[in-house]
Parts: sequence; C-alpha cells; structure tokens
Amino acid sequence: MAVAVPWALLHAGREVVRAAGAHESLDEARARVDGLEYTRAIDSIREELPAGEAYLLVIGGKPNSGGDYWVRYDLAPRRAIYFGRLDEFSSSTEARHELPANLRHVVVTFDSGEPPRLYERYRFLQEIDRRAREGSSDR
Amino acid sequence: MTADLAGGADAIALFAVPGYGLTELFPALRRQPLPRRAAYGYLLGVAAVAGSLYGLSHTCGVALRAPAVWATASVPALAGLAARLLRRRRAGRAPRPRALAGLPSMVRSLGGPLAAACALAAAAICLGVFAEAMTNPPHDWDGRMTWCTQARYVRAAGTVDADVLLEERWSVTHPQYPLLLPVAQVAALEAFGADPDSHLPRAVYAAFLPALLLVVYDGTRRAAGPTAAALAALATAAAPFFVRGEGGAESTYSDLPLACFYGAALVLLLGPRPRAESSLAAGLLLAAAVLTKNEGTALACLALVLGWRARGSAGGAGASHRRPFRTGAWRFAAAAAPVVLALALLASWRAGIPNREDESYPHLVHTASLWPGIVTSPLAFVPVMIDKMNRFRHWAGLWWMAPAALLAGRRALRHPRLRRYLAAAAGPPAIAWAAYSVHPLPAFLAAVTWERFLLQAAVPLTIVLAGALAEVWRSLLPDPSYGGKAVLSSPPQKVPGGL
Repeated sequence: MAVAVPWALLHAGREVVRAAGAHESLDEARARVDGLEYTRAIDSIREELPAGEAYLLVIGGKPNSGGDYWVRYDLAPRRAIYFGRLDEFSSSTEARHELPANLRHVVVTFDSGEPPRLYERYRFLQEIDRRAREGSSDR
Repeated sequence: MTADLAGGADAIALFAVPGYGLTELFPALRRQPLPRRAAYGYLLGVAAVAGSLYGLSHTCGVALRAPAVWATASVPALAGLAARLLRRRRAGRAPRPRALAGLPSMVRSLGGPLAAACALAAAAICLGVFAEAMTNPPHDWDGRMTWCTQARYVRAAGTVDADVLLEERWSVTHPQYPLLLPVAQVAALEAFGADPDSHLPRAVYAAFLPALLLVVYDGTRRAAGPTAAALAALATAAAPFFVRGEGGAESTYSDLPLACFYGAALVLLLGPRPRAESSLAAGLLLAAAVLTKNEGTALACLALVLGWRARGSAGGAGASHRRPFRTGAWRFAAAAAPVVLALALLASWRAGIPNREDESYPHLVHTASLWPGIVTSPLAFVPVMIDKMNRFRHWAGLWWMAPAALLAGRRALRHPRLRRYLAAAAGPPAIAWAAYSVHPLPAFLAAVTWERFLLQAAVPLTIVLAGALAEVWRSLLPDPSYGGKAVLSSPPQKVPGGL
C-alpha cells in the first residue's frame, strides 16, 4: 500500500487536472485517443454509409491486432458481414462469386490505429487484381 | 467543450436515484449510513432499471427509447418515495432536520482519523476514474469488441432482439453474451438524447468502483472492524488492476459490475442477521449477475447455496426457533425467485440468437474431456496465471501478500462465515480453471481472462484477507481499543458509524 496508494493518487490527480483542462469536442477526443487519420477515415465512412446500411468487412491487417474490432465498433450500428482476409483473395473472379448480391460497400481494416478504407464493390475487385499483379511482379 | 462531468453525473443518477428509492423498501439497506446505502442503491438501480428494460424489451416488445427509460426509472424511485412517506406517517411524526455534524464527529463516525484518511484517499481515486471516463472515449479491448458494439446495435434497433443478433450472417462477437450492461449504456444515452460517441456510458462503469469499495467496506467492517475495513477498501482502490486493468473501472468490460453484484449479494446473504427482505435484495443483485456475464449464472447459484447453508447458523431477526427450516426456506425462496426469472429471460432471449464468433463451452465440455483434463492440463496455464499475479504494475504485490496473510491468520477461517466467504472467493477462479481445462488454447485464454476472474472474486476475497490480517493483528496486539474488536460474532449494529 505504501507504493500503490501514492501511485494511485498521482494517477487520479493527473486525470482530474486533465479533465478540468479539457476543452475538446467528442470528435477531438476521439482523434486524440484513436489518431487523427483513423478518426477522419471513420467519419468519412460514416458519411458515405447511412446508419441503416450494411457492408462487407475484409481484414487487411495482422491477425488479432484488433483493428477489425475497432472499425466494426466505430461503424456500428452499420452491420457487417465478414468477407475474409485481404491476403486470401487472389483474383477478382474468385471474389466476385462470393460477393453477396445486395451489398455495395466493402470496408478493409488494417492494424490497430491504421485508417480503414471504404471501397465500392467494383473498386474492391479492381484492388484485388491490382494487388495480385503487384504480388506476381514482386516474385 | 470541457469534459462532460455533469452529463456523467446525470447518467449515474439515472440508476442511483431509483436504486436509492428501492433501498427504502429493504430495512437492512435503509438503515445503512448514506454512502453505503447509496452504493447498494446504485447496484440495485442498475439491476432494476436495465434488468426491467431488458425484460420488457424482449417479452413485451417495449421500445428502448427515452419514454420507456424514464418510466422504468420512475417506478422504483416513486415506490421508494411512497414507502418513505408511508413509514413517516405511520411513525406519526414529522421528519426532523438532521443537525450538521462537525468535523471531529464526522471523523469519529468514519472510525477515526486513519479510517477517515483512507476514505478521503479512496474518494480521490474514484474521482480520478470518473474524470478519466468523462475525458476519453472507450479504449479497451473487449469493451469495444463486444459490449459497446452490442449497445450500439441495440440502441439503433430499439430492442434487445436486434436483427443483427438474430440473423446469423452478420458478424457479431459473442452474440449470446448477456446484455444488462449494454442495455444500461442504451438507457443512459437514450434518456439524455446523447450522441453515440458520448462518454456518458463510461460514467456508468466508473461508478461501479466506489460501489465496490463501499461493499468491500461493509462486508469487511462486519468481519474485521471499521479501521481494517477502511484499509481494505483503500487497498482495493489502490490495486492498479481494479482501476486500469482490462476489466477494471476505466474499462467498459462487465467484470467489475459482476464483481459488485456478486459481492454485494454475498454480503447481504452471509451477513450476521439475514432477513427475507435482505435476501430479496440479494436475489435482485444475483439476477443482475446472471444478466451481466455468462459466469454470473454459476456465481449466482454458488451464492444461493452458500446463503442457504448460512441460514442455520445465522439465526435471524424474527426467526422462530421452532421453525428455522421454514424461515430459511422463505429466505432462500426470496433470493432464488429473481434469479430464476433472470435465467428464464436469458434462456428465452438466447433461444433466438444463433451463436457464432464465440467459444461454445457446452460443446467443448462434450468434445474435450473435463476429466482428467482438469488435473492434467494445468501445466499449460498455471505458469501464465502465476505470471499475471506476479505483475507489480497490475496488483502491487497483492498476491505476494495474500497467501502469507491467509497462512498467518488461518485461525480466523475457523469462523463459518469467513469459510463461506472463502468458498465464494474460490468460485470465479474455479470457473476459470474448468474453462481453461477444456479450452483448446488454455494458455492464451488464461493470459486474457485470469485477472478478470480474480477481479470478480474481489469482495469475498478482500473480506477473507482482512479477517485473516485482523486475526494476526489481534494476536500481536491484544489491545481491546483496536477497531478490530467488532469481529464476526458481534452484531454489526454495535460498531458505531462508518461510511
């Protein structure tokens, strides 16, 4: 307790001072915590996709980085259908067969803190082909 | 805009005021000093308001909008007010204004200067948690992955039976997790028409920390006296994991609320003079535990069993010696009835939700073998558990001290009530042990959940540790003036004042 109590009081004091001096909007607070680029990307997707819309969720980041969870939370109540991992798609033809007919938008998430990207479905298919071409030329 | 401290206070009041009204209906809670009564009131308020909205939304299709929230919050508040007026009228005298107590008498009523200093320090820590909650959006893992996301879906749909949960194609993590706390988030946001990104829901979680500390104080005070209780509450507040850990007060996990509901119910059920009304209050809190997290069901059942076993030794006000079984059965029924209702609600709500993106423990128990896995697989997860408990930045050495305290003060465990608290404290770790034994990735699961199970056991564990330390203190300093004189066998009314 001799260490923990002063430590806890110091932490509490810092938080109270920070709260008393906070002059930021909700958006500014989000930008401070989540990062400016990430928050801008989320706000832009929110404007594009009305709250009742749904989207296809594609994970482009490392497994278990949490990036997909944070994007799904920040975009809720927009509903998500998990569509797969970005590196699993090798051609647009293959992906086109699996795309649900009634969803126009695809959101690709990356590692925690990295801004997500919104694609129209045809743009997403083009992106898959572009990545496939880049991958084959790298080899 | 500065941090919305007033908005946060409003969100807390949405549950605290109806809950305070409810305490008027329970004599054992009504007679508590204001801070402890407010703590039980807050827990009962979340249980009653969010629990009722959960049930009304699922069974009657009531829309989770501001009118329903205000109506649900008004009922217990008005019931409490009516009960108070009725009681005053029956007493036949006008309410007397209370004289303002001076500083010395306030310090005395808190249990002396040391206890008063502990109370001030704990209050400052709670204020820091509240300030942090009102300044930052949620930034934890499970809160955003599960609870807050579900709250947004439920708010948009206006029902706990949102399509996104009911239709298997939508990606939802842990769709069958009980929704009491997400519904509480929705209630706070809807009642004040708040922006979806508002920090109001975080205030609801932050308020569970003072509630936990006051419940710890209440239970420990009965076991070890007011000074030891104040020290135990401060030690709890200062353990970093309780505040900043994944599941602590600065997160939006449901573990701290579960610890509060479970712990408060235990204190009411295992107290020295349990009554049917207290058992009903405990039952409401256990029902909230059932609707808060999956493991709440097992913990509620354990608490009921311990409460049932306590009936014989406790005696109880108004209990006839000729009819102890009947009185005990009545108390048990009062505690069990809300739990049964909560279980029925949970089963009915879950029936329509296809499970996905979740561990299916019933399936794991069938496919993996619980026996002998429960004794052979610990090699994989026990080192992880020890590593977590050894982290000074998480626990400030609590788990280095706990075994020594229990060993040194083992005589205190001869008292049946402390033994029951010890059994209650073993509940969450036992659930964790069983889950890790059947899980395909036990070390990973232990790494991300073990400390939260320890948090869930906070109240009974702290009471046991304080009881053991008080025993050590008594054997070292047999001074009758020590605050720990009011131990287990003494009725709580004989200990003056306190928080």
